[in-house]
Amino acid sequence: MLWALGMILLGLTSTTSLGMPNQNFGRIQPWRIILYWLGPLSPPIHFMILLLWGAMNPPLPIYVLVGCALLLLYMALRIGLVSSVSKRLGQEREESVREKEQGRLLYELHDTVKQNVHGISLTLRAAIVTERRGDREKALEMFGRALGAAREAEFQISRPYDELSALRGESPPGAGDFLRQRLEKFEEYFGVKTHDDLQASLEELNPAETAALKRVFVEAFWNVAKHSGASNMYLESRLVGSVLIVRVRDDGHGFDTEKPPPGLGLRYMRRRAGEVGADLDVISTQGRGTAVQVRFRKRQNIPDPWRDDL
Amino acid sequence: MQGSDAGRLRDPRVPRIPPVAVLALWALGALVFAVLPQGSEAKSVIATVFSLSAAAFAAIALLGATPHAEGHERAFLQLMGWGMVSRFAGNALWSTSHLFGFGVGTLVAPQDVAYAISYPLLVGAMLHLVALVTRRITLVTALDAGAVMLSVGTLAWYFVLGPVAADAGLGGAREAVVTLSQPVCDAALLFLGLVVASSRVKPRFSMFLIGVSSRCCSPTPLTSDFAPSGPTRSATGQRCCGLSA
Repeated sequence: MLWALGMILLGLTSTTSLGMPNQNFGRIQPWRIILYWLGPLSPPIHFMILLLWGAMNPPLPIYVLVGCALLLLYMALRIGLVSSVSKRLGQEREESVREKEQGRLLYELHDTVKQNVHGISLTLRAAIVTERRGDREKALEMFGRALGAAREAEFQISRPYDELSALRGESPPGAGDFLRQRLEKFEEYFGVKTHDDLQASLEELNPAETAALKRVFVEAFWNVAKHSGASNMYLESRLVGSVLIVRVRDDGHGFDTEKPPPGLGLRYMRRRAGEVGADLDVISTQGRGTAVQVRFRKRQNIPDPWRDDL
Repeated sequence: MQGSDAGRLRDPRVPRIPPVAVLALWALGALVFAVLPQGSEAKSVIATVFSLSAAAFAAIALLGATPHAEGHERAFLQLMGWGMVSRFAGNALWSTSHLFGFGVGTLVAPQDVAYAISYPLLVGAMLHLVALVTRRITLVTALDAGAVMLSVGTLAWYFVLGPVAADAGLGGAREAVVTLSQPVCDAALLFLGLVVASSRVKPRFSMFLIGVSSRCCSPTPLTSDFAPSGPTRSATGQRCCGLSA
């Protein structure tokens, strides 16, 4: 009668939708997998019982031994399959993270660059109107502002592009070369004298760390250009014990780190560094410049060459 | 993937079957079955009538719902529905062969063919469901189901069916295959049902899973003509499997 009940329930199920999922639900929880291996339907447990029973009550039939051999074959096949599936799932997860990051960057690109370009266009339009009115001096000033904004936009647009390239492993220069190139551009665009002193190699950073470092430092460069009023900017790296420190500092007017001015993106920088397990320090005193440094832990232990520089 | 009308009745044109009425009918039958004395003819008739009507009900309901379903749900209902049709045919042929005595002594009885068609369809339906509710483990699950079949079959034969066969003086390959196939295939279905249940299943699956589990765990009154004393002894292996699960 229970059998009939099962059939009836199966039939009744079809009266409502089964609610097929629109996407796969993912992995089965580990404790359920353990239940399979140690539970009443577990093939190894079944054969273990058979072997123990057979050992106590010989002889063991040949079909049990054949079953054991097949079980071993099954185990070998299963290990191979599970390994392959795990690898594939890992790749899918990485791909998913990458796509998510790309989406974020596109969103950011839209938010920042589009607004800047729109601002430039408005300024240019106003400059043209002013020039037609005959106020040449004011028009020139507006053109100058538009040019400055265009340079900023150019600088900004390269940020997400560089990060995307790093994420996709397409960035030919390593982190060190990349930052040097950015320094050159920075000096060209903003007229701040730059100095690089990368004593510790940044090439040992993995792609995710490299992407985070680039993102944080481009943000820090931007802060120097926009807010610091500095004449000089310094890019430095050192290996202190097992910690790789990369630092950018300026000789600008600094700020109170207890009450940082809005718009510096410090929270974002800290979060971005934290995503790859690094720490971010912001050291600043009013009138004595600012230093932003990222510390990557668990590096190869090399004697400290930096000593009192920090 | 196609969408589904999740959360509501499939289509207003599909006649709604009142579950309470159907379950009440089953409960009534079960009560009468329990009250009747062991070994009575009426008990056997009730069991046969109920098993046939339940299989027919499941087949008609599943296939009747198929045209109104879409995508993967449709494929699943089709596989399950045709599996049930084969199952019903197997049960009907088994009953008829025992009533009129045909097919006895032939190498392959018609009901065996029907069962042989039914199980791959049911296992296919369950694997389809596993593929829908889990991610990339269908092949591993199929392999596991095969291992479960192997171990349950060996266990059932060693402890239960082998000794029964020796006592009855039957050792033919056909009898062995027929006797073993049902508990072994039901164990695979049960395992696949548990895999589906282990995923993050929506409540709508619950009734279906209870149905699969009940079907697999219960000893069917129509198994094989292996044991002379009828279904009770030949389904012992199946009982073991059901109890263990």
